[in-house]
Amino acid sequence: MEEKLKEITNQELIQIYRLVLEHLEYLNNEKSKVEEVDKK
Amino acid sequence: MIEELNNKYNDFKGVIDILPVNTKYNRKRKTDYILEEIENDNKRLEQVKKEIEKRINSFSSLEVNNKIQELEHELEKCNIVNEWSNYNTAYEKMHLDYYLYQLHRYYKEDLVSVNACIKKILESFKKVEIVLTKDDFNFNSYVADYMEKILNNVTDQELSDYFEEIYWKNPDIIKTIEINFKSIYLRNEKKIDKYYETRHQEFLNNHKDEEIYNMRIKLSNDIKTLKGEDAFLNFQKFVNNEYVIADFKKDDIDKKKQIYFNEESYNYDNLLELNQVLNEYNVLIKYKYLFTDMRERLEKKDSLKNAKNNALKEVSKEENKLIKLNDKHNKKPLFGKKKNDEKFLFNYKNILNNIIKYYDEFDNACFNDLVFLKLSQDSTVLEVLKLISANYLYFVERTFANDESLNINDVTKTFDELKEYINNNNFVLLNNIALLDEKQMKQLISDKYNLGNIKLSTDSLLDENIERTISDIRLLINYEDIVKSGINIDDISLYLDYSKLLEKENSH
Repeated sequence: MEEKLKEITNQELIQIYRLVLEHLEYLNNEKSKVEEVDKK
Repeated sequence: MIEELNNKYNDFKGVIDILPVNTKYNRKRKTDYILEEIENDNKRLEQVKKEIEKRINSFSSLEVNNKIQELEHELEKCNIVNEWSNYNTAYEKMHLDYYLYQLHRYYKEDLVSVNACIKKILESFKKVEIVLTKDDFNFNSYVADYMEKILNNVTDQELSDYFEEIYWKNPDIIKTIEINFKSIYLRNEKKIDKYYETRHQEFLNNHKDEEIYNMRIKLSNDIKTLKGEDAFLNFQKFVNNEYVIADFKKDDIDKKKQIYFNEESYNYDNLLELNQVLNEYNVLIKYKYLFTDMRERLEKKDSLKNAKNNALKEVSKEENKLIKLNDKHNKKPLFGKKKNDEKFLFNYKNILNNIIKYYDEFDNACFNDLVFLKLSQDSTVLEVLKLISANYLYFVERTFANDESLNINDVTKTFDELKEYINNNNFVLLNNIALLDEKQMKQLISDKYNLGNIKLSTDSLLDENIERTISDIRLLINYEDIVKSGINIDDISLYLDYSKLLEKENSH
């Protein structure tokens, strides 16, 4: 991935950063949902 | 790459959606699966951040060019020429116009500001070698006592306590101080003129006035150029939102270029020249109300010949009345009959208001005399502006008369900007137009530039469009400056987006 990142434009790079952040947020939400079920 | 990552994430979401959570075992399996993806994603995030930081790293090492500060310091030193400006009197050179205006403004609001202002005035007198004492404040014994405390540097609290104590005995303390300062100035005017004249002569032993005037313009231009091309300052303007990335999109910049130029005529020098003329033309529009007022004053020249002496005679007559009234009052026991105190205060207020009125007439007459001495109907707009920008009170009064919704801080800032603009520029338009000759100006400017392949329509010079035209040309200059400064707008955009997202990430 590191090599590929070097070749992309600034605009694409910031889009990827935004995408990864959103995915992380999604993952943490999913994890919380499972924990909620666990509590019940 | 984005598409690849998007697909990967969508596949993952597809799997997550169908993973069951009905048993403890399944829930653990799903959580472990998510945790593994979080770990992978964090690694991915670090790699992306590393690449972004590598690209924007150069911004962190930017520093402002030290030469700018050095030149600003040199420019500051050139301001000594203001001390012998032909366009004002010692009263303005000492900044008494500004301080007394402020004093008049503060007197009902804030005693700390009043006292600070009084101290500044005392310093101004000291600077011209006139050290004031209690005895100079001879209009009223309370004022003399109050000034003695200020001269002795007592604390603000002590001053406030004393003010409270004497306010009920004489509510017009600050107004009295104000006119007392004006009277002290008039008593010492010749001595103060002499002080400035001697300083000027000493200066002329080693320099010529012209050298400093020219140096001031050169330094100012050099500072403007260095600031324009400074990478750090340009970068900071984006960070502080003074510049907006969207304004600098290549396509939009090209469109703006095409509005005003063709390929041959688009260059930095033409941009600067056009900017200069547009700004000068804007000054003509912005200060139309001042030029109208100046024309009216010049027309009344003959009828206003003796106004200064008449006002001064009245001031002197009223000041003597005030001193006599005080002397008479002070001979009585300190706590005389209430009725007499009331009568005294009534008379005191009347005389004081007369003095203020005659001083206003005197100030106005002095200004008119200066106008008649320095200007005529044939004077250029630049000469008129030199006189205006050396006279704060006139500018403030006329500007408020033109638009009373303004606030004094903004008006003062505009005055300072005008003064700097007039002192630090070479002009092409303002020094060639007579006060009475503004006709057809739009057409003249437009014709001149259209001849040089610059497409400047008379429409773009209309009062309602001029600000936008100036802003377009300014944007093109800023764009060229950014290019010259070697920073990449695309990288700045990455820096700004990254900073915002980083802030969001850290807030979670």
